[in-house]
Amino acid sequence: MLHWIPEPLTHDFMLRAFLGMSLCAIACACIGSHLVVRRMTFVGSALTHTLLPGVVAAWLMGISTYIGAGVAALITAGLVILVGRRRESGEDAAIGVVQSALFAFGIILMAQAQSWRDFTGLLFGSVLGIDDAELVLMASLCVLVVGVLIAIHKELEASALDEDYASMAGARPTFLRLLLVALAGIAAASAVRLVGAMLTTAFLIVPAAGGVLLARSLSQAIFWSVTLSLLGGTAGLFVSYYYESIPAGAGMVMGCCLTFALARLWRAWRG
Amino acid sequence: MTTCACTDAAILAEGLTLSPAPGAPIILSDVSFEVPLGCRAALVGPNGAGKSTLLKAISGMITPSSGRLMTNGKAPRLGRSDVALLVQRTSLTPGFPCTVERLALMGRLSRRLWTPRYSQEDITLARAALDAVGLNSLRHRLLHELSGGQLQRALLARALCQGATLLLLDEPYAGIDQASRQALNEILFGPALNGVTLLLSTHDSVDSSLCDRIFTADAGKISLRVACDGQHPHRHVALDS
Repeated sequence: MLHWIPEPLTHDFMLRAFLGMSLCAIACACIGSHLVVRRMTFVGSALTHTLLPGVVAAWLMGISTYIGAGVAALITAGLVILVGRRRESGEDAAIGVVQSALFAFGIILMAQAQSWRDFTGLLFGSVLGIDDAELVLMASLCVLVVGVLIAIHKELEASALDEDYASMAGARPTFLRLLLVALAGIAAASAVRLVGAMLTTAFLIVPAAGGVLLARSLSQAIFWSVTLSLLGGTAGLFVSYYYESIPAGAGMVMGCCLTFALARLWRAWRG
Repeated sequence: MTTCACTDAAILAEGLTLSPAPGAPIILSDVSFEVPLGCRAALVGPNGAGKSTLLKAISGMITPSSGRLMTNGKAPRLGRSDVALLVQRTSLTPGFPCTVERLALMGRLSRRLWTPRYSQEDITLARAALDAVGLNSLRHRLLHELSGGQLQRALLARALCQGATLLLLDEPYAGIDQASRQALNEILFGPALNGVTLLLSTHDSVDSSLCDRIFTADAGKISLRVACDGQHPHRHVALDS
C-alpha cells in the first residue's frame, strides 16, 4: 500500500537526487540557522544574485559550475569586507551594492552566450541530472561547512548573542561574521545544481526560519532546521517524481515553505 | 563587614585620552584616576559623557589615543579572563534562542576559546553563578521570557561564571524597577562579590553609602567625588534596610 514511498528511490537518478538534496539540506540548514538567529538573512538573499556571474562564467569557460559558484561566493565575502569596512557604509548597504553589481555583471555575461535557454538548468536547477562526481563534491562541501560550524560552535553562539562580550572574550566576532558569509557562499554553491542560482536562498533561509521557531537554543534551531529541510526537500522531490509538470527544484523549495508554515502553525498553537 | 583593600590598583589611568572609535572625536581628555583592588566604585555622569567608552577601554575593546591604562597591573587586551564587562541589555540580539543557563555558561568562553565544548566543570560553575544571583530556578527559561531585572542578574551570572576579579558594569540599572535595583545591589555590594573589584557606570544617582569611591564624568574629565578607602560601615546597613 505504501510502495509509493520507496518506489522512486529504486531509480539511480532519483537516489542520487535524494542524496544530493540531503547533503545540501544539511549544509544549508546548518549555516542558515546561524544567519537567521543573527538576523543576517539578507546575506542569503544576496548570494542568490551574486552566484549568477560565477556559474555563468564557469559555464562559458567550460569548467565546473560549482567552482564558479564557489569563487563567486568568496568574491562576495571579500567585497562585503572591502565595502563594509568604511564606517559610513554598513554591512547591509555593502551587500546591497555588491549584489547589484555582480548580478548586473552576470546578466552581461549571459548576453554573451546569445542563448538564454542554455542557462535554465543553472538558474532553476537540474537535480535529477546529478552524477556521482557531483555527489562526492557535495559531500565534501557539506563536511567542510558542518565541520567548521561544529568546531567553532561556542564562539559563533556567543558572538551571535552578544558581539561585545564575545569580542572581549577574544572570540573575534568580525572574523566570525565574514567566515559565516564565506561558508554560506560555499553551501549555496552546493545547492545551485539542486534548485538553481535563483532559489538557493530558499534552501538557506526558509528551513532555518522554521527551525528557529521551534527551538530553545542554537543547537536545537540547527537540529530542527535540518529536519524541516530534509522533510520539505524529500516531499518536493517525491511530488515532482509523481507529477512531472512540477520541476524538482521548485518542488523542493515549495516543500520547505510548507514545513515552515507547519512550524509557524505549531508555534502559534503552543503560544 | 566588607572593607576596601586599597593596596594596589585594579585600574590605573594616567593622562588617558579616549575616543569611541579610531578617527572619532575625543570625548575624554587627559584623564587620571585609580580604582584600588577590591573596591566597589561608581562612575556617574550624563549620557554621552564617555562612561561606556571608558569601560570599553578598560576591558580592552578600545585602544586609548594616548596615556597609560593598566588593569590588575597589566595592559588591557581582549581575551583576558580576569576582566568582565557587563554591557547594556540592548546589546543582546533580540529573539536569540538561549536559556539562562546557557548564557551563564558563556562566561567560560574566554577560558575555553576554540575548544570543542564547555566542560562539566563549566556547567557546575554556571549553576553556582546562577545560585549566587538567585536565578537557578529559572535556568531553563529563555532570555526573552525574563523581566529586565532578571535579565540583568543573568548577565551578572555570566560575569561571575567567568571568574573575573575586575567587574565592569555599563548602566546596570537602566530599564529596571526599584525592587529589581535593590535585588541587584544586594548581589553587587554583598558577600557574593567579596574580593572582586567593581566599577559601575550610571547616568542616575548612586547610593554613596554603598560605594567606596564615586567618580563623576563630565565635560571630558573624570573626577573623584567620594572616597572611603577603608571601613565601610554603611554598606550592609543600607542593604539590610
